[in-house]
Amino acid sequence: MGNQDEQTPAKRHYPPFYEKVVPIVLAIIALIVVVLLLIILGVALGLFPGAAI
Amino acid sequence: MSVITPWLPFFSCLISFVFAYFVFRRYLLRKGPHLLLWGIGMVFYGLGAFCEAYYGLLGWNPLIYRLWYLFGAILVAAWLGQGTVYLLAGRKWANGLMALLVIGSLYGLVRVFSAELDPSLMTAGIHTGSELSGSAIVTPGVRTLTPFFNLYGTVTLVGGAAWSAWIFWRKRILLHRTIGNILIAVGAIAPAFGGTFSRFGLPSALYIGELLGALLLFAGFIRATTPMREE
Repeated sequence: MGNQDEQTPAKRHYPPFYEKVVPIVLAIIALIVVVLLLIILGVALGLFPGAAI
Repeated sequence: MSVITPWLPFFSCLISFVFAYFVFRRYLLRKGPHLLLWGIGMVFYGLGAFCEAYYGLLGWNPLIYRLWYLFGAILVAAWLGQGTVYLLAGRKWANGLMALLVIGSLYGLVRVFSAELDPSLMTAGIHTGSELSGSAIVTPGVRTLTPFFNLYGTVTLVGGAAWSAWIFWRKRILLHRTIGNILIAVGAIAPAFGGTFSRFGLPSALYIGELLGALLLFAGFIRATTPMREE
């Protein structure tokens, strides 16, 4: 049993700052991408006349 | 027009070409179609920015405008994103999408270079004419192409970078790649944000977004390819 404990690999960690910040930033990016995609789709479907680049 | 406006794309152009040089140099050392496509994508970025700087400093020129619309507005995001497709997707899928992108790009080239232009339309409405905009294209159907290319580019480039960062973060490995990919994702979003603010009449917003985008993409690439000391 003792050996089993020794064989369990330690869970990896990033430095505390990155542990907190990375998921928040990724969530914000995901949200922005969804909004951007909706806007682009809207432009492609002609919902915003004159907005195309 | 602000004195600084034409210089913003000039700096974007310089940064893009220097970045492209770094990517091509890595391609020669490591090979890999993703590096080749990212290099080509950054050359497109630089060409688009060069055309914007030319317009700001020397005025209207139909050839420069067509080059800007083709490379800067239609192709750049999609070609950069195609590099990410080669990195993350299977080779068969990537090759199939590459063939579609080449056909689409050639179609875009023909449409942009045969379109009728009227530069006076750029100063109508909310745009002041200080920045290039697609309004100068009179021929219908040309501007309709742009969102489809940008949709593909956003999904693949931003989505691919964010997805990679998420995978590295979940496994808690290669911190430099996590940070690099986040910078790349944010850098790829920046020009789209600039474009949106530009449509609300904010002067130079598009050019600021593009400059920020070039800087962040470059920083992200360097970070992702350079391991950190403590790793």
